Amino acid sequence: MTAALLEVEDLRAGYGSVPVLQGVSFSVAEGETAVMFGLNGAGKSTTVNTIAGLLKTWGGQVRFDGSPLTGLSTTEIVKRGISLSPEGRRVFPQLSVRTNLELGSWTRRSVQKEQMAKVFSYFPRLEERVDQLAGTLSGGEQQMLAIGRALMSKPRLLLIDEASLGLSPKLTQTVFQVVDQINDDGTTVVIVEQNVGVLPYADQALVMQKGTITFDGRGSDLHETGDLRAAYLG
Amino acid sequence: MAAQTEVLAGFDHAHRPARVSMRGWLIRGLALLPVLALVFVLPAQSDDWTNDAIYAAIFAMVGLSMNVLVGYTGQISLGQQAFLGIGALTAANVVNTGTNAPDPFTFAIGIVAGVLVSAGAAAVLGAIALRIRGLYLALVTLVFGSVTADAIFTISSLNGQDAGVPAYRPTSLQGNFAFYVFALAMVAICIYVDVWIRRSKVGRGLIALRDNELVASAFGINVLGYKLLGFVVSGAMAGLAGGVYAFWSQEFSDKNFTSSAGFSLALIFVVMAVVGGLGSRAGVIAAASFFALIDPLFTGFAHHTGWLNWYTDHKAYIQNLVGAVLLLQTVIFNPGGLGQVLRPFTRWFSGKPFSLHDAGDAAGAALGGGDSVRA
Repeated sequence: MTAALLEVEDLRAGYGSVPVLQGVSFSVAEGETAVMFGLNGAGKSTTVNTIAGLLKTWGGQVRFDGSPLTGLSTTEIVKRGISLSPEGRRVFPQLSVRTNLELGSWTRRSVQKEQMAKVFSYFPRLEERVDQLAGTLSGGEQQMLAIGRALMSKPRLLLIDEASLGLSPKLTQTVFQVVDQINDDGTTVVIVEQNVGVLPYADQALVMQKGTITFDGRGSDLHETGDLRAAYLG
Repeated sequence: MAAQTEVLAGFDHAHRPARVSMRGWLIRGLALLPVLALVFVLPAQSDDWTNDAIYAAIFAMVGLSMNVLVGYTGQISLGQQAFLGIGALTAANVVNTGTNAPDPFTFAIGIVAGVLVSAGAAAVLGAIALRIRGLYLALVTLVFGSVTADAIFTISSLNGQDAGVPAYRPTSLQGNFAFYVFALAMVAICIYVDVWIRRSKVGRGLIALRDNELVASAFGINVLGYKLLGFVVSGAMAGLAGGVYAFWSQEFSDKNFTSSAGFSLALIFVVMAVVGGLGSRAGVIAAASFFALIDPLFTGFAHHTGWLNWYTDHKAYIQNLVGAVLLLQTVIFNPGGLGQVLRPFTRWFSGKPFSLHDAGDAAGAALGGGDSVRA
């Protein structure tokens, strides 16, 4: 068993005075791909946003490589090796593909050149459109850019929120395959997904319901236990 | 596709160098002559025109300060007149030499002091405004402008009471045209700062947080620090304009920045930034110059048509009406502002092919138009 890179323990967080995460606990081993399923509002995005430092932790703890992340700035969290590809892609529409990518390595300029070459090897389409405005890319290309931008800081842990949102099934598979390749190259990945088509690429599956983890196990087990069906269909 | 990519590259600052022949640059140089004549020759024709041109240069500096704050940083300020006033008040008080002309060193100290104090005041406003946005931010800046006017500009030991604080120019800048050249040099400094911000890592950080604060912070961009920087740079530029204003009018008078005069300036500054096109340097300068020249242009027209008395009685309403109509026209029909209209020309002058059908416009319109960022 590989050591856990990410450990989340009794994590509580929310928006304003509304609690969303009611005590989330799970861990992800280094080099693995974990997929988090759940209905809208279950707290999946809140979980990854809290890990990335975009939301304040109300309680509990997040540890990365054994060190607590609680209270650290997003800058420090990125420097430590965690990067987020946010939900809805959210590229910077009026900046070029190149500038979007450069912004991804804001805190680690030294790896910019090396990572840009790597991103272009994963997504050759981005290299073709490097001087094009991000807002003029297709949905699939924007998703590639969002993931590529997150890779620019050379993260050890890549958090991807809804990679398949708004993409065709074929393009979704392409994106999943690239994410699998990124994982094979040594980056630990946590994907928030609604699309179960990602399951074959997952080492670990998590199911969230009402702000807590209701299943944590191997991806193959998820099919057998029926937890996924319960999460989506009740 | 190649052509489109080239056009888009110019929208975000281009990474590929322009290739223009000597003949091409010569044609561009000749085409620039009317603009140069408008900037340098026309103001030299009479003292009134020189005065109007200096006022336009001051507005252009304020326009560029709005460009940094609103266009690049995505913040709003309805209190920019306060920074103009603080710059003017500081410069006049620092250089106050009674009835004598100051030496150039004292004059320079006064201008720099105006910049620094305005930047400091902007940092205070920025610190207050860091965690609020939208309507609340607009209200806070509005109140800041109003409170500054009431609390600082009316301090009798600073404002020179009814007579105002004298702000005499050094001997070398006594002539209006010499002072106009000085004002143009100050505009050039503001343009340089604007260009530097836009092309540097700082500018990319500002634009990223303007587009999406949450995502920008996810990549480690210091959102609060960069917002504060946007306020400070903008305040410093407005402070510089304030210093020039004080020495142009050769006094600081609180009446120019308090009550209805101050509020009117605040509105004009916002309107000229929107009409010029947020993020568009050339558009904002053109719109700011136009708003500065509305009064002399209309006065001249009314004088020649025999409507001067009527215009003088109603000029405040007419100027507001012109501003309102231009604002509506921009918001409804031309969200990219004057910058969008000028862009084919500014692109051409920078060495790119002339095209009225700029893919950047289409992209800008598709993305919400007015927010687009242009060189």
